[in-house]
Amino acid sequence: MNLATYLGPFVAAYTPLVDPLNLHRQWYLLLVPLALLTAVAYKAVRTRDMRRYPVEVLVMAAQILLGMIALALGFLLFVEVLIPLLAPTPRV
Amino acid sequence: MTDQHPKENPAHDADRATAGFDPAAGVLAWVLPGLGHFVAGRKARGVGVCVGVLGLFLGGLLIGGITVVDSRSDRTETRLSFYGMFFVGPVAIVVDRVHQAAFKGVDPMRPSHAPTRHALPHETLDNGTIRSAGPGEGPPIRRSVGKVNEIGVLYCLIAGMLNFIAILDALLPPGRSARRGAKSKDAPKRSSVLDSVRTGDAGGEQ
Repeated sequence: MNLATYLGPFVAAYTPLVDPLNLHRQWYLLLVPLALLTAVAYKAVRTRDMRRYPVEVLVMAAQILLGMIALALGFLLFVEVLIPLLAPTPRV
Repeated sequence: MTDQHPKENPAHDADRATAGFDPAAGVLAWVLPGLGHFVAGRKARGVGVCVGVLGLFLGGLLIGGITVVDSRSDRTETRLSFYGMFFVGPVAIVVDRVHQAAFKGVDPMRPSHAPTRHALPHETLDNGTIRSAGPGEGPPIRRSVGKVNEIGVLYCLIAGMLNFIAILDALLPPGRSARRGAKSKDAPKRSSVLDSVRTGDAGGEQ
């Protein structure tokens, strides 16, 4: 089993920058680089002391990820638990 | 990384207090993300902005393909998002132009004033005109759909919005913090006057 075997389903007929990646099932993993790069750009502008820049980037990226996880759990509880309690529908 | 906040670098603070408004840095920050900061001497910040903004924009293109940057998309969200991507700089405009010119075509079955569109799976592009695909032919690109498209658009849009913040910081960084510092020095005086009024020690006729 080489690397191409693992990556094959994701990069089949893939032209970088032109074709989309086949990551429809793993889309949530793309939130990690999104949070990290957002923190890199934002903290470059907003941090007071650039000596603390790497630490602040990591802290902000973690805050974004934890916030999104908390929001996801909140919406999951709302849709899966609260709504069925408030408006129960008969299951067929 | 030697860039420091003015409060921790008095010499830098003095520079910031005299500059005030720097339109050249603002324009440079739009031309290339981070260039405004870099030219203004805040090199570490410029590199951080450049890596973050261009990394997000490039990441969006790698994930969703070139179809995420489309100023004439038939999908409203993608079309409106281009106005945010505009702040990434000329690179976003060039990518959009390449997308419109190389991957969209005129449909001869539609009116001449109709917008260009992508070729469908059973069609191909022939010198900017869409026609039925022959054996072994197909559209020049696959359009991204669903979550992959949404995340690709999100990456590029956030890149534009972050560079908008960076452009504002390049335009107005100097003096801003110094003025804010001066205001905060005044603040205790004001609060002490207010406190004396509240406690009845402000004098006046009683």
